[in-house]
Amino acid sequence: MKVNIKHWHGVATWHWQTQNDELCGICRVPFDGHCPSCRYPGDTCPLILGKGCSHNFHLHCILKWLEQSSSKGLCPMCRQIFTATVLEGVGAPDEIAQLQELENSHRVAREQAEVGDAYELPNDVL
Amino acid sequence: MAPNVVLSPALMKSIAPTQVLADLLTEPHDTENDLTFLLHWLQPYYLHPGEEYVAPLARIRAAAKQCLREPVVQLKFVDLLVNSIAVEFQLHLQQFVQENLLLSICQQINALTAYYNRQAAVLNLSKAAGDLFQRSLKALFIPYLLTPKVKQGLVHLLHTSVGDNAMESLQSFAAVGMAPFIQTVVVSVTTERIQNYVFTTFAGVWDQPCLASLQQWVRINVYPTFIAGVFDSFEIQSSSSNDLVQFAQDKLINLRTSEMYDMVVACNRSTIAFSEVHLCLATGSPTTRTLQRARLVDAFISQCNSKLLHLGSNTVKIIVEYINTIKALLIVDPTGVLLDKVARPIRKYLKTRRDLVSHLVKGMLDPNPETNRLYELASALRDNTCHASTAIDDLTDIHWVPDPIDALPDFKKGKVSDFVDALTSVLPLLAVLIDEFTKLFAVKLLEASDNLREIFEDVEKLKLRFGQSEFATLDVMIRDVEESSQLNQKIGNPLLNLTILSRNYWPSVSELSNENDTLNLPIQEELNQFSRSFGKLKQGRHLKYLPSMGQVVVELVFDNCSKEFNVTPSQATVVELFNEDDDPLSLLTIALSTGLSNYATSQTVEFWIKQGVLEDIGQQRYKAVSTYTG
Ligand SMILES: [Zn+2]
Ligand SMILES: [Zn+2]
Ligand SMILES: [Zn+2]
Repeated sequence: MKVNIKHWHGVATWHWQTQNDELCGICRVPFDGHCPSCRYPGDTCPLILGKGCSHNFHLHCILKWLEQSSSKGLCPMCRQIFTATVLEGVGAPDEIAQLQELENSHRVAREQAEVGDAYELPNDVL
Repeated sequence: MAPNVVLSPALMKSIAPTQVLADLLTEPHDTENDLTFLLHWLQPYYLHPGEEYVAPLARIRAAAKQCLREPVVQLKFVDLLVNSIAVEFQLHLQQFVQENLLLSICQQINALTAYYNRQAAVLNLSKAAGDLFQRSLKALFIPYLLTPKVKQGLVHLLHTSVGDNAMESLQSFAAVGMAPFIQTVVVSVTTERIQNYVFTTFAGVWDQPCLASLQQWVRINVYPTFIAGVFDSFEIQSSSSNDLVQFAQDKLINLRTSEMYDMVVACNRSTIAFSEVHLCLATGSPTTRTLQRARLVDAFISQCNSKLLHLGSNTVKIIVEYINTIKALLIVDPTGVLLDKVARPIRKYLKTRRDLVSHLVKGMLDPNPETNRLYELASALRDNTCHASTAIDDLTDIHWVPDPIDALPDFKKGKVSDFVDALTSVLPLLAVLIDEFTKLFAVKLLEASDNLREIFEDVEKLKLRFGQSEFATLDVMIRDVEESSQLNQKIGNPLLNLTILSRNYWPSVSELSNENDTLNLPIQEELNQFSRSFGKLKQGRHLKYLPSMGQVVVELVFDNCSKEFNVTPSQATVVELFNEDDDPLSLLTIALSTGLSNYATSQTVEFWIKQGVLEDIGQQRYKAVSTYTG
């Protein structure tokens, strides 16, 4: 007898490649789920990996966090400065740009604070 | 002297101390000759059948005039004449009534009354005396006619005959003072006749109009005899055939009430019967109507309890009958009040059925009556006009009327007018239903990854019905399937297609993806390639293959033929081991080579043996057949 496999229809699941915890530290939803503002997980609600620390968040969750001046641009989990690992094709370009702008503004604000002024997030970001 | 004077013994003695007319002959008298003539002519006082009335000579007429000059004497004379007749009645009439049929009795009554009336005419009586004679005569007849036998004869006559015979007979009896008795008999016979007719003619006849023919039968076959029998009574005389028709309709409602459950089961051919019940209920008096509606509800509920709402009925059957009940009761009572009442016990019982939700979900998705006994749910889901039921229209209707007084306090118009709403509202939470849909679609989406249009259409209909936001999980699942097919096109592997799932959104998948189940797949190389392509297209993400899920098409080429099989990945993996290898393999070898458990291995081998592809050569060893025989 000869066996020819004509067609194989398989099933798989996709997963964000993360080091540790499975839940977004901000919204408490699994990484592979979607944030509270979205309806679909995955492409449109991507996961952002921390570069400085090992904490990961939904893009929309970390955006909301960093929009608050009180976040001071720090990771909500470990209070280190948050910088995102940017992967090609992950996240809408405008959202990624917004994220990087927020990181920058917080950095600028921090530098000014070190000079002696009170820490303040520029208004145009808000 | 007043016409109704009662003759006291004293008065009788003062006029003539005699008891009967014959007594007058024995006493000498001024008018002795006249009286003798007259009394001879008056005899006999009873006319037997076949005997003839003899017309009086002029001499007799003169004698009567001479003898009965005085009014007082006339009254006394009548009294005595009646007494004489009474004696004869005792002797002859009692026996005659016993021995003869009703028709002969009537003829005899007619003959006797004619005979006495002609005699009375010759006597030239005053009005007072004439009235006395007529009254007394009737009083003579009645005791002889008020017998069980006569009653039985009358009942029989009324049941069988509708012609002039019956009318004449009834008139004969009425003429001798039997009218009240006849009325009683006629009323009881008529009601019994109508009841019998309704129950024998219309029982089980639900698919053709009965009301019109019942009305016609009452007006043509019942009413004439009825009215002939009650013609004397002022009250009933004023009535029309409508009252009898109404009575007949009430009997029809009684019949339908007793048949209600069976009519509902045969709902689609009982439409006419339901419309007629509606008509009958609408035409009765308000009191009767309320009573009839209450009886209908009680009877139907108790029929449901004994015939439907028990462990012997499966859930689908109960759902079907609930749907039929909705259809039927909305014809009987478009306001929905009766439906609301009868539906409550059914709904309460359905709540106890755990498989309700799965039957509802399957029922709503398959519009084919041949495969789905609940196809009407599917039609209702697909029919948008269904929402605009008549009951709901009432709310904006300018001819709005208040709820009937027998509506329950929490009755809501339109609440149960739609099958889908009616049934899904039995469930404690909408989420129960949505979860079930999601589970079912999970299976469908994975099975039919090529033909998704139908599934998308179904989901759109469900969203329209139950709300867009209820199906968020299902939306993710559908997007997974759509994106997978785009991705498969991009990757373009001719052998391997993957459906890539968002793991937290597929029922039962998230557990599977945590299991580390291994299968040494014959397509492992393609799979690795696919994963690499995926990693490039979707940065930051990786795939986890679920080896137990999916379908494989394998072609097996035998010496005599080749055959395609649609199998599971494990089945494909096992049969692949026998590719171009005629040596037998042991169960252990198969298990070790594939990575399947011993149990799964033997199940899979069993499958291929049943398909006629492998054969068991003993000692848990198997080999492929070279010639396929099916
Ligand atoms: Zn989040
Ligand atoms: Zn999001
Ligand atoms: Zn951190």
